[in-house]
Amino acid sequence: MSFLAPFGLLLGGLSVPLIALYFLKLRRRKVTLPSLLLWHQFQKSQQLATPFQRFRRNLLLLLQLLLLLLLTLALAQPFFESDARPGQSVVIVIDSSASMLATDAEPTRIDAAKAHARTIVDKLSNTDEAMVVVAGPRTEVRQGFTRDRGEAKSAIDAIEAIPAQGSLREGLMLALSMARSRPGVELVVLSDGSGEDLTTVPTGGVNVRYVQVGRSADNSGILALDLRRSPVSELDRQLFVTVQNFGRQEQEGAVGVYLDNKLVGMRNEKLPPDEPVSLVFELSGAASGELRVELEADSDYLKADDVAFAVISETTQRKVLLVGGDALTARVLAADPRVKLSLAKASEVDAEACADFDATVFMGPVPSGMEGQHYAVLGPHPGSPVRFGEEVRAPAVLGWRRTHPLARFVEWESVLLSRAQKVTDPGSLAPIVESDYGPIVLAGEQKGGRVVQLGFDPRHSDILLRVAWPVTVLNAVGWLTEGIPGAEGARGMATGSPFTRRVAEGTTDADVSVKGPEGAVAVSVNDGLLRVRDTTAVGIYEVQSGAVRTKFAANLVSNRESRIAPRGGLGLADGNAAALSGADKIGRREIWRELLMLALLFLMAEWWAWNRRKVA
Amino acid sequence: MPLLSAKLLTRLSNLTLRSRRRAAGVRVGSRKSQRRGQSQEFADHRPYVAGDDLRFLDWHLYGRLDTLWVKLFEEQEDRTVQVLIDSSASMEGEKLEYARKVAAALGFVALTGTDRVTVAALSDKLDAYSPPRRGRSQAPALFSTLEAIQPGGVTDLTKALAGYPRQRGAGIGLLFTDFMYDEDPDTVLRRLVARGMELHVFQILSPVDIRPAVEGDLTLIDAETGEEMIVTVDDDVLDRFEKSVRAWCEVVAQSCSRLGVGYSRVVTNMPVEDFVMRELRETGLVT
Repeated sequence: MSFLAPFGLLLGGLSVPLIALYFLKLRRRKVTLPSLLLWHQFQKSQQLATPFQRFRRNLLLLLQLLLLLLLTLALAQPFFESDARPGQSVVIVIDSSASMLATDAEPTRIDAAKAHARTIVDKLSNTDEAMVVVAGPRTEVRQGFTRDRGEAKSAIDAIEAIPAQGSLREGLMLALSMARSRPGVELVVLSDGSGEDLTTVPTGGVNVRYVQVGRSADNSGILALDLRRSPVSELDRQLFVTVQNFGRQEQEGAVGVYLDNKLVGMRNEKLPPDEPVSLVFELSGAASGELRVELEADSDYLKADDVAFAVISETTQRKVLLVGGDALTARVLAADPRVKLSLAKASEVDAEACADFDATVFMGPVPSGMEGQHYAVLGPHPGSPVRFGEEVRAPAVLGWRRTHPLARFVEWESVLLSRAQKVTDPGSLAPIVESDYGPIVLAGEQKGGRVVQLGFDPRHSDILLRVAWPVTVLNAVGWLTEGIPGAEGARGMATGSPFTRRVAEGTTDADVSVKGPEGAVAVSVNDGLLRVRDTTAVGIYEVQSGAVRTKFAANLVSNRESRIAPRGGLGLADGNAAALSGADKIGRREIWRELLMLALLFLMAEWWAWNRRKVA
Repeated sequence: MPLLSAKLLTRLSNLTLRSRRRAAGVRVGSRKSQRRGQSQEFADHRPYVAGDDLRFLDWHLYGRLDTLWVKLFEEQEDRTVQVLIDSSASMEGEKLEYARKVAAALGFVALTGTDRVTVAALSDKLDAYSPPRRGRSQAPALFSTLEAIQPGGVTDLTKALAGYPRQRGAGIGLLFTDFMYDEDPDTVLRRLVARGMELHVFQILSPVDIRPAVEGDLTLIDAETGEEMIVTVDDDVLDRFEKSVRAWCEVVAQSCSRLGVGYSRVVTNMPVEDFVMRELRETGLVT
């Protein structure tokens, strides 16, 4: 305990005159008795008037001295160091992403974060307010500013981590906007950090405090899962599994593959630190059902990424139209047994004609009115959904989104480009592959239809000479037709992202039911579009729509979440959020209010004692 | 308001003041005297000596024993009941009032029984004195004397007794006091006993004397002397004080017992009627 105003302790000096006054007893009550004879005798025998005898049971003096002590202490403004800064409100941001399920804190990181949050709430003074924000797969305000500690703690208790990729950035942005709404608010982020770049998050002068949760990086997880027709045999399929050890020590990992709970493949691998390991399992071409891949590693604190699911459905061919394609691309598409290919010239097709196909691949001009359809434009052709600027020479690939279905199994850094068109306006598309001049592969949705756009002509690169080209084309077609019944790839979707499916017109919510790994899941149908939002559990989801039953899988497969090593700081632009361990003291908790309250109680007690004496 | 109610006076009429021993009186009264006298009640014989009244010779005994014996008869004499009231300032209030009432009751009993009654109020001097009265008709005068006693002054019974006239013939002394004075109780009692009276002491205390209802830091003032005393009083102190008061009362009682003095202690919260009709009858002072 320390004092903000130690000079206030001088007030304690008043105790000397107070005691002196008691000695002098200026206001002694006079009582006339018939005779003091007996009192004199009694005094002699009892030593009634010894100097300090009167203090022994003098409740009033005791209360007055205690009152003075409390007032003296209150004036000196004592304080304790604490986690919470009293006198100001706090916005508590709790990360609820998958990495918070790691068990390197007791019992899990999310539990440790909640416990710490409760401590912060407990230490708030009565006038302080707390807000609880969850930053995870879904960012939301769980509790608005409240002085009710019980309410705040209930909101904290209700928070659960979800095995899905989360966005701390969004949570921070939301919390900061809330914090800026009133002065003197402190932001406390309880997280293990995030792989996201937070340097561009504007703190706007809000004091952000980062409480690091977790300590270990030891985790191995499944990063990718895909099923392809075997290039050797039409009858066989290959299961591609990518696992990675995110720890700092080499691990022994065992990967088991189960089809409808029967073991169909097993592999033991050494997992070097921070290096992806791709494994291929041969499966029968006729295989169908629920596929489960399990990873067991020596030291592994996160279980959510140790299992991945896929649904192998009976193959149904998808109708694909190739417009203005070259022979190589036509051969690639024709070689895929899932694809029923049609060829057309650019001058022969219009948007209406394309509507008869599940997907269209353009290697020439794109007709107008393609919005809402699934199509790929393999080059900077007229009618593209993005705007192109000047041509650039020899752009170099800087990076790509490895987890996007379009970029799977392609090493873009080894692709050489001679020319490309610079993208000036990507529209609603997001970059998949970035060069030093901007994006060169883009993908996204446009009015409900999926679109893939290449920013370079493949003929102006060596990609046509690489296996990357057929893989990219098949990736594109696979992604474009992903939502079509019977056309799912084996790879599941990411947990937390909504699942959508076209259903027959007139279908209502009552006709549809969805059963997830943890029981029934809410589903909604609007304008013939079925939507399952609550895909927060890893596993197989079964959708029953009338007589039609389909399944889909949801997996964590997130590089960011599997990399559980806690960050030392948030790396905010103004750098005011360095990591603090739970033991760090930053605020101070003043207790003068409590002392004054106690003093008031003593004053009341003294008043009572005084009146009691007067009555007597 | 009269000292005693008519109802109590009626009940008192049936009582008599009993003496534990015989004492010589002045006139023939209703009390048995030390002297063998001329009443009808035979008391004893004694050998005849020259000069004895020949009327009291027992001729029957002379006839049988051939020696002269004189018959002795109980002589009934009146007695002086001396009511002595401590009228010092410490008695002021309920104690003096209580003393007046008990004195009036016992005085009335005495007058009813043909005794003579004197009243004296004593502090450090003889404050009031009423000469012996006799007969029931003197009761109102007795009551007036008692009512006229005013409290005041310090207690010095030895000094006050110096001015108190000796009464002819030993009688019964009734001393009403709180014994709140420096003097040793023995000294005062011895002086009174030395006057030949059969003394009965009434120690009258008020509840305030035993356990005053006070607490806290106080300046106690002596009502007699004006002397001040600084004390801090709480329940524990009061408990101990009460214990010491009771112990002191025992000392007074023992002094009385040692000197053959009757002793009654009464606290003023007891009704006078109860005290006279029950307590005093139990002690045998009245029957």
